[in-house]
Amino acid sequence: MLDQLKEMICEFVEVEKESITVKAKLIEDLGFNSYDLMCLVGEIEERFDIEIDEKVVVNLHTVEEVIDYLSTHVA
Amino acid sequence: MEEVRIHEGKEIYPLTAAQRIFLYTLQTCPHKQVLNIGTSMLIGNDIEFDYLREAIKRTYERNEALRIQITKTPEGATYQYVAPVNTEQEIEYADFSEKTQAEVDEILRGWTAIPLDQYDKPLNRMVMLNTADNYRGIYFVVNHMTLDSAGIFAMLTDLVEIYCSLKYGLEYPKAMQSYIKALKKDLAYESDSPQRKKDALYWHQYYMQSEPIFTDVQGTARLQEERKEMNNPNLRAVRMKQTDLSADHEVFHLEPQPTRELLDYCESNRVPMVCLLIMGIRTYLSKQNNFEKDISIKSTVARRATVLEKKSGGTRVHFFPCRSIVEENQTFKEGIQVVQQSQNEIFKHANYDPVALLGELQELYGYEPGFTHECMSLTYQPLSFRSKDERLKGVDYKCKWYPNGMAGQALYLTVMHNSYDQGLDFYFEYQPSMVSKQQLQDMYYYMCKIIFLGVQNEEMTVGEILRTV
Repeated sequence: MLDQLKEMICEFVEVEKESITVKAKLIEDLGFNSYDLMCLVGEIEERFDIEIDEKVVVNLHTVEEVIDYLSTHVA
Repeated sequence: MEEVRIHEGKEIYPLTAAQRIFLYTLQTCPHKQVLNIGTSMLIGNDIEFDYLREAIKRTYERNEALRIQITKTPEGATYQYVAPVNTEQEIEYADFSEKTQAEVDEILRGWTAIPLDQYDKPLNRMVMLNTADNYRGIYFVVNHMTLDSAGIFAMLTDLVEIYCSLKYGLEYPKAMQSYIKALKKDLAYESDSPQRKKDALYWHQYYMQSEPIFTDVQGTARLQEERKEMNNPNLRAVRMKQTDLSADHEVFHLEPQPTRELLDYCESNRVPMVCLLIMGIRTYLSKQNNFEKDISIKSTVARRATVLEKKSGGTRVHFFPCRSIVEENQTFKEGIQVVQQSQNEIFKHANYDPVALLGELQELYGYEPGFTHECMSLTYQPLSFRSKDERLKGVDYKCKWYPNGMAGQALYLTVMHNSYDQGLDFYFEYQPSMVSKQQLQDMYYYMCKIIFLGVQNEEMTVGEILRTV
C-alpha cells in the first residue's frame, strides 16, 4: 500500500519515489497545495474504491497518516 | 469519447469545457480582443537577444499549447489541433530603449487590445523587448482559449530555463508534458465517465438543497431593482448586464510585511490563502447586505494537480460558486473553516463543466441563461516567477499583465504575489458601467480591515467584526 501511495504521489509532484518517507509532510515537504491534496484523495478513492469525507482530509498531514487511514478503511 | 477526426490532413479534437466557455464569449462579444491576455517579463540583466531568440524557438517546439489553433469543420463546429513546428518562425523584436516605462506600457496595452486572428492562425504572439535601463525580455499576448495564467507561467519558466542553459551551460530543463495527452484525458472525463456522473450529482444536490442569494458590493439595490422589474419579491438572482463590456482596472498593493503576517497565519493554521481572502470578501459582502449570512462568490480553480496538468499548458481554469453560510456568533476562525470546507468540495468536483451548472439553475429554479447569484469572481495566483539559476538570483525582474479593454463580467479580482517585493497585488478588473472606482477602494479597504482584525483576533465573532469595521 505504501508503494502504491508513493507512485500516486509521484503523479502529482516531481519527486523521486525513493525519497518519499512515511514521515514526509504532504504540504511542507512534498509541495502539495490544497487542490493537489483533494485530487490525490480523489485518486485514492478511485484506486481503493472508498469514499473519504472532505472533513477528514484536513487532518491528513503526512504520508504515514494517509497510510494509517487507508489501513483502517480499505477492505 | 469522440474519435479523433482528420480534417484537411490534421488531427482535430473537440474543445474542452474550459475552452467552450471562452469560445462562447468570443462568439457573443463584438470585441474580439476580449480573450486576449497580455504580459511582459523584463529582466534587469545583460540578456543576449541571440540566445533569447533561440530559447523562444525551442520553447515553441517544446510546448504544444503554444501551437494550438482552432478550425471550423464543414458542419460549422469549432475544433482544435496542434500545428506543426514552424521552422521558419521569425521572432519579432522591438527596441523601446528611448521610451519611458509609461510609454512602453501604453504601447503594450495597445498591442493587447488587437484581436488575434481566429481560425487556422497562431493564437499568440511573442516579441523580444529592449527597454530603458537595460531591462530586456519579452512581451507575450495569447488567446485565453489556449493558455491560462498557470499555463503562461509554466511556459515562461521553461523559456528562462532554456535560455540559462544556452547562455550559462546549465542543465537543460526536462521536457514539458504533452498538451494532447492532457486533452485526451479531459475529453475522456467529459464522455459520461463515472467520475463525471458523480460530479453531476454533487452539483445537482448543491443547488437542490436551497437556492443561494445574490449579494452585491453595492448592497441590496441591484437585487431589489431586479425583483421590481421581474415582479417577483422573492427573486434571489439577477441578470448579468452585458450592454457595455468596456473594462478598466485598479491595482492595490499590500506591502511585504503585512503580506508576511497573512502568510504566517496561513502556515501556522494550515489554511490556504485563498480561504482567508474569500473570508474577507464574504464578510464585506455580508456587511454591505444587511449582515446577510448566505454569501456566494465565484471561485476559480486552476485544475492543475498532476505533473501532466501542471506542465502541459493549455487553458484549464473553471469557475464555480463558492457558497458559505456563516452565523454572526461563529468566530472568524470557524468562518474560515466553513469556507475551507466549501472550497474542498469544489476542488473535488471541479472537473465538471461550469456551463452545465446553468442547466441546473434553469431546471431547478427556471432561470434563463444570464442569471447569477454571484457579483464577482476571485482568483488567487500563488505563482511568481523565480529562476533557479543562481546567477539570476537577486536580479531584478518585472512581470506585468496588460488589460485588453474588455471584460465579460462586472468584477473580477485577481490576487497575486508581486514579483518585485513579494507583497500582494489586488488586481481588480471591472466594468465601470457597473462598479465605481470608489466602490473598489472601499472594498479593498474593508477587506483588509476585516482580514487583519480576524487574523489578529481569531476568536472574535463575525458579528463583532461586522460591527467594528
